[in-house]
Order: sequence, then C-alpha cells, then structure tokens
Amino acid sequence: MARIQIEGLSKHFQDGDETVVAVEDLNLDVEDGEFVVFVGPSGCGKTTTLRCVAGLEDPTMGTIQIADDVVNDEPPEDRDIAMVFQSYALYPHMTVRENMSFGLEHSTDLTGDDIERKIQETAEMMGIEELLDRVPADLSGGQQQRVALGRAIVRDPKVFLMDEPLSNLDAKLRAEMRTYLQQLQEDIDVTTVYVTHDQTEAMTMGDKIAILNDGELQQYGTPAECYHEPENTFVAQFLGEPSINLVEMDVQNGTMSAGTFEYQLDGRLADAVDADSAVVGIRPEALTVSTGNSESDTAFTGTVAVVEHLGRESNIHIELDGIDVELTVIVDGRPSLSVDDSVSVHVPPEAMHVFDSHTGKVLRNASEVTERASLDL
Amino acid sequence: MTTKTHSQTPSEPGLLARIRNVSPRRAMLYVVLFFVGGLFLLPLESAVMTSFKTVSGFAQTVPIAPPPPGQATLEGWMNAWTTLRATMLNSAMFVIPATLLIPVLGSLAAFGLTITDWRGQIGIYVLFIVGIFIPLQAVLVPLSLTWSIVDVQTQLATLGPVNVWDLPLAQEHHAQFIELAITHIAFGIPLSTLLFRSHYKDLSDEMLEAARLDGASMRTIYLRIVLPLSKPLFVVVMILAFTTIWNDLLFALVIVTSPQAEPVTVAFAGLAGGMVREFNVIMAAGFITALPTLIVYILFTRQFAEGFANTGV
Repeated sequence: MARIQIEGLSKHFQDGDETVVAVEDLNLDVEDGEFVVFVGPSGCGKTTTLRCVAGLEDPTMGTIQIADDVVNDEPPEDRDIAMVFQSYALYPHMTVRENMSFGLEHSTDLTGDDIERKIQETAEMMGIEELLDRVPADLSGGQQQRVALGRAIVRDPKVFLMDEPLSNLDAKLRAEMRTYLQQLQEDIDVTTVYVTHDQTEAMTMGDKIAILNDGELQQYGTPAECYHEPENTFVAQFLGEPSINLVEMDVQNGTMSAGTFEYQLDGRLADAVDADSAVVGIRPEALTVSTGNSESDTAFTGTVAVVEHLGRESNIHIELDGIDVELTVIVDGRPSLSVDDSVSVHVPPEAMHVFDSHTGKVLRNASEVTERASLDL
Repeated sequence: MTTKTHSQTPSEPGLLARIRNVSPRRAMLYVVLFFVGGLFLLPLESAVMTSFKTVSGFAQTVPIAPPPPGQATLEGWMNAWTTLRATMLNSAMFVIPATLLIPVLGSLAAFGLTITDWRGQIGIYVLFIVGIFIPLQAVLVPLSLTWSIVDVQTQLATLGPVNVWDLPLAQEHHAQFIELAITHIAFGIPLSTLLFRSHYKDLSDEMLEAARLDGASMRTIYLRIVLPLSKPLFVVVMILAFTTIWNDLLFALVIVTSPQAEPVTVAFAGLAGGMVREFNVIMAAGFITALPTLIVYILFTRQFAEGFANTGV
C-alpha cells in the first residue's frame, strides 16, 4: 500500500553544548509490502530513524516520503501509521476492546457497528476474542503483546512500525511470536519497518535488513546478502552467532600470512590488496579442524581453549600458535576434542572474506556457492 | 478449666490467653501508647463535654468531666448552629467552585507543561513553583488593594445590558464570593499544578505517542487518556483544596467587607473572640465549623490514600 523513501536523513540532538549525531545521511527505500528490519547495536540510530518515520521526532535534515508524499511536516496523527512499542503502550484504563477502538474512532469515519465488526475480525485473527473485555493489567506479557499488535492491525494503516516489540517476552514466546509475526505480515501485506538489536530476529524475519552503526547505514539488502556478502567488517561481525573470525594478516610480495597460515593472493585480489596488511574473515562453520599438523598452507595450528557443546553442534575456541588470535570453529555433533588438544584449523581459500585493514571495507567476499547451497539447487 | 481447654486448642487462644502471652515489654508499650493517645484526645474530649454543659456547669466542673446532673444542655449546639448556619452557606458559595476549579486548572496547566513540548516551558513552570512559596501575609495588602481597584460588584453591574444584581437570587454581597473564589483558585493552582505535573511526568511516553499515532489530537489525549488516569489525584487535590479553603481565615478577613458575606471561619472567630465567652457555644461552633472537612475526609479516606500513593508525594 505504501512505499517509504528516506533521503539524506540526519538527526542531531543537542545535549548541553554537545551535538549528538543519532542518524547521519541515511538513504533507504522500503518497497510497498516489504518487511524491513533495522538492526544494530544500541545507540546506532535505528529507533531514531523509526521515530522520524513515525513523526515523533523531527529530522534535522533530509526528507521522508510515505506513499510518495513528503511527510516531514505532517504530525504523527495524520500519517496513517500504526506503531507497536517495546512497552506495548496499551491504555491501562481501557479494556482491550476500547484499546482497539480508540484509533479507529479517531483516525477513521467508521460507525460504531463497523468498528465493532473490525475489532471482532482482528481479535479472531489474533486469537484474543476472549480478552476483549479485560483490562491490560489482567493480561500476561504475551497477551498484552498480542493486544498491542491487534491494536495496530485493526487500524489497517499504510505502514506498520515496530520498535523492539518482542524484547520483553521470554525466549520461547519470542520465537513463537517471531514466526507468527512473519506469517501475519505476509497475510496482511502491509509495509513494515521493524527495529531490533537481535540479529536472529533480523535474519529470520526481514525481507531486507538495514544494518546501522553509529548513525550510519552499513548495509541494506536481503539477510542472505548481508550474511554472505558483508560490505564491511562491522556487518560481518554483527551477523552470525558465533560471530565471524577476523584475523589481521601481513601482506608481502603477494602473500598473506599470519602465524602458520600462508596464502598466495590470486590475480584480482592481488590488485585489490595494495597495503601491507589485510583483515581476513572466516565464518566458524567454514573452518574444519583436525588433530595434529596439517600439510596445507592455508591452515593455522593452535590449542583448544574452550569447548562448548550445544547439542546439534559444538563451538570450539582455539588459541592460535604464533599470533594472539582466538578462532571459533563449529563442528557437528558431539566434539571429539578436549581442552589443551593440539589441532590444526584448515581454511578453505574460497571461504575467506578479505577486508581492507584500515577502512574495514570488503575487498573480496567468500564464494557463495558452498556444497550445501549447491545441493539445494 | 479454661486454661485446660486453651491448652487443648492452642491454635485458637482466647482473649485471656492472648493477654497472658503478651511480653512485659509489649505490655509497657501498650500502656504508653494508650496514655499518649489519651493525652492527644483529651482536648477533644473536653471540647465535647464542654459543648454539652450549661455556663454554670462549665464553671463548676473541670473541663474533662462530663456535665454534672441538671447541667447538661443542647443549648450551646442550638445557639452555635443558629449563629453559623447562614455563614456555612456563605463558605460553601466560594469553597465549592474553588474546589472544583483548582484541580481542573492545575491538571490543564500540568498537561501543558509536561506533555506538550514548547520553548520556555521551564521558565513558566518555575513561576508556578515560586507561587507555592509566596507567604500569604506578604500579599494581604496588595490583595485588598487589587480587589478595591477591580470592584467586582460594580463591574458586574455594568457589564451587560442588565444589572446582574437585579436578577432573582443575586445579591450584591455575592460579589465577594467571586473575589474569594478567584483569590483561592489563584493561590491553589501552583500546588495543584505541581502535584499533577509529577503524576503526568510518570505517564508512559510511549502510551501518549501511541495515542498520537492512533490519530488523537491533544484535546482527545487529555480528555480520553490523561484525565481518566488522573482521577485519584483529582480526589487528593480536591480534598486538599477543600480543607485549606474552608479553614481559611486570613483571606476572608481581608477580602470580605460585607457582614452578610462572612464565611463560617470569620463568624466562628467572632464567637470565640467575643466579650462574653459562652464556652459551650464556642466548642459546639468549633465542631460545626470543622464538620464539613471531617465529612470530606471520612468519605474519601480510601481514594485519598490511593491518590497519595500514586503521586509519590
């Protein structure tokens, strides 16, 4: 129903004599019906951006368009937006029914009967019919969450904004609601911007994710793009759990090296790496670990420091010989290694992301086509 | 026998057993508490007793003693009531409007100073706070001057096409009720605003933002969200306003010039300060004067406690 275009958005706050930059020159398009997740560490400007879209903050610079109309000067009540807050923000003195009808009464011309009908429909869809006559204080956290969503959905707005709506739920309920929200958004097909600091939520829910840091957009793309083709070390580190292994390497005469690891740069990469160092990123799942010494050049040797058994897989933390780096490797199933074992870690050259060591920008991403992916195809 | 039954059912000790179980320390504590409590209530008891005695009965006995035989009378109460009846009504004429308007205006001011956002807010709020600390004695002269310059009685008489005072039920001394009401409202607003503001600051910002996104105007947010959530505070502010204004003597003495407009406190002060002191009448009059505030407290005890718990004052 509506596309959101953010152009050159900046938001500065005045804190005494200091100017705090919350968002700096942000450009972003959210297509109609798309589910976009803003993700980043706290203080990265994601919530500020959302609040600018909602009209709760005035942008310092830049324009925001909703459905091709510049809305900078429109107050929030005129933007036809529904927002779900982290605290749910239900009206405590009203019943669930009144909570849901409030917006309809004030933003539409619907008659009482129509409002009641819409509330019933939405309540059924959300599974909250039985709660309609209760007040928020009598509801559990999960129920309040549903009511808050219902209150937003019943309005049938142009845009949904969600500000960390799941962060007050326990882990199990959060996982359930995550799936539920995704299905719901697909069903009702309303442009949605979702803010979270949780990379799992971002990866699983978003059609696209926008990764922000220090008020600047780091990367905007599908979760798979951002994961497999990170544009910089920040994105690479932020997505993925456990996070990517970054190793600073020396570059001399076309050879990258760190500890026992050596790699001859090939043509294109040799041109790209013109400094005397580079940062190599390798996902923990791309590494293979074996006991004893490896014949391969592209391998590190080290000692097992910690073994975390997670059930289906295990995380193995390995302290490398010769350099002060700890690598994380994911191995399937029950680990056969134990602490203090000497191991070698093999790095498949095609799994290496190479970043500029000064700017953090990517020089080469790992080849996407891994064995598993080709099986899916 | 009794001790035996008690020992059989130790879970339900009788009163006797319970008294026996009290440690000496606790017993002493109770004795002291009862003594102090009695001491505090003594003046009240004397007042009640005195109000039912004849003048000679008062002279013959100590104040705390009950009326001696033949000296008990309701005369004091009757006289007091006759003297104060009309003035009670006078008090009500300005106390009630002021009591209703102070929370309404205070809550509106607090809303404007808290929930909306505009430049100079803090400056205005500081003015409100200063208002709380103005000593009333300091404003008595300016106040009486002001009301002599702004002559409400003449103003209203010449305001419209008809003379207000010619209207049925309107009497010229009613102008002084308006003066009293306005004065009390003006001096009641600062504290009322302070109380409402601290309450409104605690309201969830996200909830108010949700209301804005739901399409509600500022007016709707006030009427449908903020006002319903400040009901307990309304009760607190109304009770505070009612008791302060009902008990006020200072402003009444300065502003009221017509004896017909005398509020109950002025009339009571007149009784108590008279040349011939009829103590039974004075005591009874004291109770009658205090009665409305007592009734208000008793009726709203629960809401009062709740409201105070909410404000965190």
